[in-house]
Parts: sequence; C-alpha cells; structure tokens
Amino acid sequence: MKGFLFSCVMLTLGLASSAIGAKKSVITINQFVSHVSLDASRDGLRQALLERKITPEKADIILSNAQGNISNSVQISKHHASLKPQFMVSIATPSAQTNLKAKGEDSTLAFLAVTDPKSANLSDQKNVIGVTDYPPIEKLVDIAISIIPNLQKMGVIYNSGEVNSIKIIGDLEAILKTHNIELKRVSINSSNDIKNAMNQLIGAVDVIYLPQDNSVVSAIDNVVSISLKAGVPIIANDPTLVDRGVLVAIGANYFDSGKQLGNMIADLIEGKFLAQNIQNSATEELKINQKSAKSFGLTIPKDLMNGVKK
Amino acid sequence: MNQLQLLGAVEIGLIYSLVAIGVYITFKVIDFPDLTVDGSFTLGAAVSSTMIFAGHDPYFATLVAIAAGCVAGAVTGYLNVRWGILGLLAGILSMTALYSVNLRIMGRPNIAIIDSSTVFGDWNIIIVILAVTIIAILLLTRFFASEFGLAIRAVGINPKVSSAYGIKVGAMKIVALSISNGIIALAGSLFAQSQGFADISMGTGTIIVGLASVIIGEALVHPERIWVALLTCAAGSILYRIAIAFALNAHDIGLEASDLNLITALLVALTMIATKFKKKNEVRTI
Amino acid sequence: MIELKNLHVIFNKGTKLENHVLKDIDFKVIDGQFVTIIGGNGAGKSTLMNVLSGNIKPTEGNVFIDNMDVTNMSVESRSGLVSRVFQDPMIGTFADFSIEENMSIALKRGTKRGLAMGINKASRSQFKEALSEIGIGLEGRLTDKVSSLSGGQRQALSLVMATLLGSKILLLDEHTAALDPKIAKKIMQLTDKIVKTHNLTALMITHSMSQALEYGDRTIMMYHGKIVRDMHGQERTGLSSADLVKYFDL
Repeated sequence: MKGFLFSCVMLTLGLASSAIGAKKSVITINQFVSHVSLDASRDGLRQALLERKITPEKADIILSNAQGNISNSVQISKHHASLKPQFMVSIATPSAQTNLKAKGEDSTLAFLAVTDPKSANLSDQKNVIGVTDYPPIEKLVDIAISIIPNLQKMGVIYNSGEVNSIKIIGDLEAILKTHNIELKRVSINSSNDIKNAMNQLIGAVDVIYLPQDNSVVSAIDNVVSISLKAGVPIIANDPTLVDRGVLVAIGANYFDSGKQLGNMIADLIEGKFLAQNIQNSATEELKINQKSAKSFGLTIPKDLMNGVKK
Repeated sequence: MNQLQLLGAVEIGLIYSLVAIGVYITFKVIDFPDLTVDGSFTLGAAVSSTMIFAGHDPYFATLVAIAAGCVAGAVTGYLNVRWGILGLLAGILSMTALYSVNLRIMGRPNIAIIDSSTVFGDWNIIIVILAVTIIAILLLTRFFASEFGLAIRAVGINPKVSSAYGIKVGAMKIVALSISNGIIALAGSLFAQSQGFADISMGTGTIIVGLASVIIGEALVHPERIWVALLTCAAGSILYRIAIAFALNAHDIGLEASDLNLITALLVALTMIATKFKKKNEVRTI
Repeated sequence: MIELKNLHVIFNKGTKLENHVLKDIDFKVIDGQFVTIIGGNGAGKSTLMNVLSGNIKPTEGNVFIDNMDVTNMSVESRSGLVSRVFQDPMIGTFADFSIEENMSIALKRGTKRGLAMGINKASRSQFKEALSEIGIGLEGRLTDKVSSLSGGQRQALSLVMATLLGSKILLLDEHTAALDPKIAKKIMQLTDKIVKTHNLTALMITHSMSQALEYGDRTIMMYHGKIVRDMHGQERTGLSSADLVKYFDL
C-alpha cells in the first residue's frame, strides 16, 4: 500500500513539473555512441552553428548520447521530441530511425553519419534533411591501383553487425570486379577479433580496405602496426586515419560534414531554401602517409601528390 | 516532465512490461536465471521485421515471431534438462547463438519498416500494447491456475518433492522457458513495429531492464497472487522508464544519458536494500 | 505387493570411494503390511527407501511392485504407485503454496495434468473432507500459506497429501524425527489411523525402538547394507525396546 501511494506521489510530481516555456528555438542532438568520427561530425555541426551566429541566446542546443543502446535512443528521441524542437539532429543510423519515429510534424530531422538513407527509410520523407557519408569508393580504388603495383587481391575487415559496412562492401566488390580485382572478406564481431582477422588476410591479399566501422576503427593502432610489419598497405575512406598510419584515404571529413549540416540548418532558420534536402558530403579530402609509403617501398605518382591537402 | 515525455515513458514501459513478465516466469516462477532474453527479444524483432519487409501480413508475422521465441526458450531448456548444462550457461549459449541466427534472418544488421503496415494499424500504440499486456496477464493467470500451471509453479518451489508427485520437472522447465521467451519475442516484435525498424544490437541490456522492472514491482507491492505479481511487473517496467525520463530531464544538473546504466544499477540496488529493511521489521510467524 | 530381488546398490563403482551400500537384498512385502525399519547410521535404510521411490537406481537387481518391474521407472512415473513423507516437514510440502494448492498437486499425482482449473468447487470439498479426517482444523484454512503452519501441522498435511488418492504404498522416512515429542506422538497416531483406514502397505524408517515395535506388524533390522533380522508375529510381539537395542550389539 505504501508503495502504491509513493508511486502516485511520484506521478503527480512528474505531471506537475513542466518544461520551461521555450521562446527560443530548440535544436536537439541525439548521438548514438561516442566515436572519433561521430564526435568530429558533432563538433563540426556546433562550430558551423556558432559561425552562423546561432548562439545560446538564439537557440537551446541539447545534446544526448545513447551509449550505443537502442532503447536509450528511443527514450532520448521521445524526450527530445517533447521539447518541440525546430531541428532534431541524429548522429548515426539508429538515432535517425528512433528520431524519425518520435518527431512531430513541425520538427525537421537532420541526420549525419548515415551511409544508406534509402535503406533506413530516411529518403522520400517529409521534413528530413541530412548529409550522408557515402564514401568515394571508385576514386579510392583508382588511386590504389595507381600506387600499388600488380594489385590483384583486396581484403576487407568489417563487423557484420554494422549496417553501414554492408552496403559499402557490396558496392566495393562490384567496383573491384570491373577492374578484375578479387575481394576477400573477413567479418568480426568485435574489436577483439581484429588480430585474428588481420592474420587471415596477411599473405593472402595485396592491400586491405578498412570501412568506416566502429569495431575496426577503434582498433586502428593495432591494425596499422600489423600492416607495417607484414608489409601490406591499408587504404580507407576516412582521412583522419591516415595520421595513424593508413597509407592513403580519400573521403568525407566528418568534421566538415558536420559543418555542412550546420550550414544547412542555419540556411533553413534564415528562411532560405535548400538545393537538396539530402546531400552527399561536399568536402573530399585526399591524404597520403609518406612514411608508410616509404616503408612499403611504394612511390607516389607526382600528380597524385599535388592533389593532397596539407 | 511534460505529457509527451510521460506518454513516451508509458509507451516504452508497456512494451517492456512483456519483457518483465517473461523474466518473471523464468527467474521467479521456476527459479531459473534465463539469459536467453537479449537474444529472443531481438529474434522477435528480426523475424517479424523480415517478414513485414517482405510483404507478409503483420499479424501473421507477429505470431511467427512468438513461435520463434518459444523455440529459442525450448532450446535453452533442452540444453539444461537433457545435457545438464548449468541454467545460466545454457541461456548464455542460446543468446550468443541467436546473435548469428538473427543476422542470418535479417540478412543485414538493420531493417527499416517504418513505411510498412504493422499490427498497430491506425490505432494508438499505447492502447494496443495496453490491450496486449492485459490479455497476456489474463491468459497467464488462468494458465498458472490450471493443473498444468500449478505443476510448473511447484517445480520452482520444490523440484525434489514435485517429482515425487508425478511432475516431470524437466518438461515443466522447458515449457516455462518456452512461454517466457515467446512473450519476450512478442515484446521485441511490437517494439520493432512501433519504432519502425529492427537492429541487431537492440537486444543488448534487455535482461537488466527486465530484472530491474521485476524487482521494482516486487518492492512496491509484495505479490501474493499471480495476477498481482504480473501486474507489478508491468508497473515496475513503467516506473523504471519514468525514472529514466526524469533522469533525462535532469541535464540541467549535469546528468547525461550515458549515466543511465549507473542510474539503473543504483535504482535496483536501492530497491533491493529497501526490501531488506522492510523484511527486518516484519514479524516472522513460526 | 513389493518385491526386491538380488538388489545391489554400489556408489562410485570402480573408484577409490566405492561404497557397497545395499548388498544382495531379497525382500518381500505383502499388501497391507506395515513394516518398520531400524538400523544404525549407514546401514542402508534410506537407500532402500530411495530405491523403492525411484530416487536411486539399483546397480544390480530388480524392484517389483504388484508384479510389475519398476526397476527403471522414473520417480515421476512411479508416483502413482508410491507415496512418500519426508523427514523434514519444511521440504516435504510446497511452502509458498496455500494448503489447497498443495492438495491440488497431490490430487493429480500419477495422472496427466491438463489446462482445467487446478482448484474448483468439487476438489475443494474433497480437500475439506480429507483434511477434516485428521481433525486439526486445516480444512478451515485452505487458503493459508503452508509456510505459516508449524512443523507438526505440515507433517500432518504431508500425510494427507501422500494418502489422498489412496496410492498403495506409503514410505515414511523418519517422518516424526524432526518434531517435538508430543507432536511426534500425535503424528504417529495419525499415521497409524490413516494406514489402517486406507489399508495401505507402509514402510517406516525410525530411530525410535519403541515406535518400531508399537506400530506396524513387522520389523526389519539392517546392518552394513544387509537385512539381518526380520521379525513379525510371535517373534516380535514379546520384544521390548531394550531387546532391540541388544540386537544392535550382536
């Protein structure tokens, strides 16, 4: 009986306490998990908003992290939606999906770090904008062919539970086929399996491709040291990984993607129209690690070097 | 907290009450710590989403999901009863295997069904889930009052004497595990249909939430009858989600959503400690 | 009718801890007989009872009940033929169940359990009737939890549960040992009454020499896994507790 009364009191208090009436805009950010790339896109977004003078006086920016847990993301989405925000930013696919379900008609969903918005049912929806991080795989393959002599086999490590990886690897395989290059896949369940996976590929392939995959990226130092020791270069679509020892990467800079979305949001706030609701990342960065190239005994063609951003 | 948040907490709390009820059947009724939960929750979502995405009738898809959950529970039971594998371990084995099975079923880690038709149709989600939960509780109450159901409960209380009364202890365990995981798979299926997608990682942590709900429910009202016990599981689940909604609101005092795990642990620990104090003050009848 | 033929029970056969607990037991009990079983610790009394109930499978030999070979029958399958009252009143009943729920479990012993209501008007009156026979007022407390009953009350309930369906054989495993003397005596009288009323075949293990002689019509004494004395009729009538104790030293 006591317990029943207690919960009644709790409920009444809950109903009684109301959210502070918001006269300013509210922008909520639902980040699915903490991770180098996702954090970078969040920071880029915030910087762009600041640069466009969307300051705390003008808009409340509320950030929540679901810690990789989907039911947390659901509750965060509902919480955010209840604040009747103008924009509900989602960083990563699961957050985008829970936000999509929870958002009201007047809120605009703005997503980042989603590779395949079509499969996630994010395209062809009302009031949805976003910047996809679909990587320039073809360009990367062309660059790899120009740098690595006699490239016949490529290996790829990925977490079979990562929705972004599946699509990319499928497309990669198709592209490689047109160049008569074979793709060898090794799947892992967590970053613990990395060493094993690398060992399976070393000796069997000429180069290893790393997708933008949490489990893989979190073990990047391990991956790089094995690659250097074994003399098998690594290519990727995330330029930040080149600083860690990856031979070459060309792709979206997550920070810049975040800025791109921030600018899109600022445009909408200022009443401008967007050319496209869902845009691919506009900035593309090519980065090459000279030291790694040297240790693999590879020469970088001059015209490629000229395209590298310093 | 405003009305929308409260309704949101109630909605997800109701879905997870089915999880709490399933957990109650194994942990409390037959005294079996079943960890299959994380796997069977996702299994329910995986099966129904895959079928709905392929164009099947959502009601049929939901029924198949329940059946799949029953099979998962039966496997855990079989490992324990037939092969003597420790209950805790058997559940872990099933849960681990289900990760791969679920991936195979979905064919990909994430399936979006937000534009497909679901069992909810045009109805209010909360009303539908409330109805489902009430029906589940009524059916289970009737079941546990039957001869067969009493036998299952007897197994949880006293397995040695149960067999002396002709109860096949092993078979009863398997049936209970089957029913429990069927209900949990139903929860997963409803979750996916209400959220519009199924994801391979959605089951992680389900057992903790289920246990927390059961414990909170028991602390409120010490259940004498089965239907009260099941009702308190549902109440516990909803209260848990309301507590989380409170925590989410408290970002003004520096609380992050990432602190939710800690908050859950604290909530459960405090509840169990409070129960111990209550017991101390009760007069024990000899 | 119970028959044990060439029965051996060996624990940990082939290892260092090998223990030949029952040695070549040949033992017959005719219908309606009430046998008391005595013997020192480790004599094999409980093992004998466990073989009859099915909790222990014999290493060698056979168990017959009514000329049916039940040697490999599981405990559950045998439950329709054999009832048992355990020594510890706390474990012999379902503590968290009410009295009527306990009775309901007992009622379906040996039969298939279906989805019909476990407790209904008809079964309730059956329970009331059975419980009123023992006259301790339990019939008015059907919904009380068994955990609220005293040890003696629980043993009395166990007895009623064990004999509710009149299953032929009743095994009593020191069932009054954990009760205080006054209650123990009451339970024994109750046991005697029930055995006589339902004409059961009963086997009772006891450490009390007076109990062993006062009740039943046959007494067997076990020692080191063998039945060393089997007394009934004339031979038994004249014995006193002191005599039995003397036998222990021989």
